[in-house]
Amino acid sequence: MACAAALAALLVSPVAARAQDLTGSVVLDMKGTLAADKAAASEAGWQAITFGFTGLEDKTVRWFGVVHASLFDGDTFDARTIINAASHYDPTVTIVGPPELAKKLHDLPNGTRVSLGGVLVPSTRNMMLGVVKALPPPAAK
Amino acid sequence: MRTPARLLLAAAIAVLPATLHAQFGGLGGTEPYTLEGIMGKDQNAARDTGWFPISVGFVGNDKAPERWIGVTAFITWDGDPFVGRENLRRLLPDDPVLLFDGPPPMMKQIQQAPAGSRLKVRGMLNSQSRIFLISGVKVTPAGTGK
Repeated sequence: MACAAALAALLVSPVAARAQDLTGSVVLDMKGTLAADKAAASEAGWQAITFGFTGLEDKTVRWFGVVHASLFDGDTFDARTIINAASHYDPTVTIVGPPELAKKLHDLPNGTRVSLGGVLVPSTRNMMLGVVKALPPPAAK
Repeated sequence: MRTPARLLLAAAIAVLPATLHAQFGGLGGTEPYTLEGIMGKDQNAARDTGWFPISVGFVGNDKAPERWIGVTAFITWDGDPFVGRENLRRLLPDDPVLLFDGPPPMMKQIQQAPAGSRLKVRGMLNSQSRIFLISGVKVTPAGTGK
């Protein structure tokens, strides 16, 4: 119920076409590597961020080394600006649902390369996931 | 050619890729990449605007001052940012990190891009020489969107 309300809130909020306007929501795609701690995330990606999760019994955050980020139109400039502006918060991004994708992201092992996407509200740093995909490790490519 | 000589030649050809890989540390040779970033007036400005600041020089124009770019994306031809980051990191101790080469009009576009402008550069990177052979450049002034 709470998840449905959060989803509805995200859907009705105006979609910001430009990321400089942080009052709306943006469609954000990220690629990176889940890590055990900040040092490992910094080593694995350009920027170490944390994911928090609402609605899960396990309250642990996950560290993530961001390797690439873009908005729905492929804009990497504003995507980096948005993540950098939020990076000093802990958690950097709060995953609000849907439950199955949140759990999938939460439960992936450290070292997993992940491609994820969804709707982010920059002002609250809440993100509703649309896709979570574990990418093959480098040796398997 | 006698059979032993043929066998020797075949063996040499078979081990050549492994030898080259070991010799050059698997740097990936020459591969197409897309670089996106924001032109900075100096290293600190580039650090503020991108994931990481890189310096770029210009082949054949030693008098041109190096430029600083805050990198927001460095991806392979098939869109893999992991490989792009890995290869760019290997070059980061060098200064300049990348040496741009290519058609003079494109080189000029980059050399004269104002601080704050958004760059999208396509080209072939030779990791051993750090030369980035440019095949396409798009410079968007700051604050005007795409």
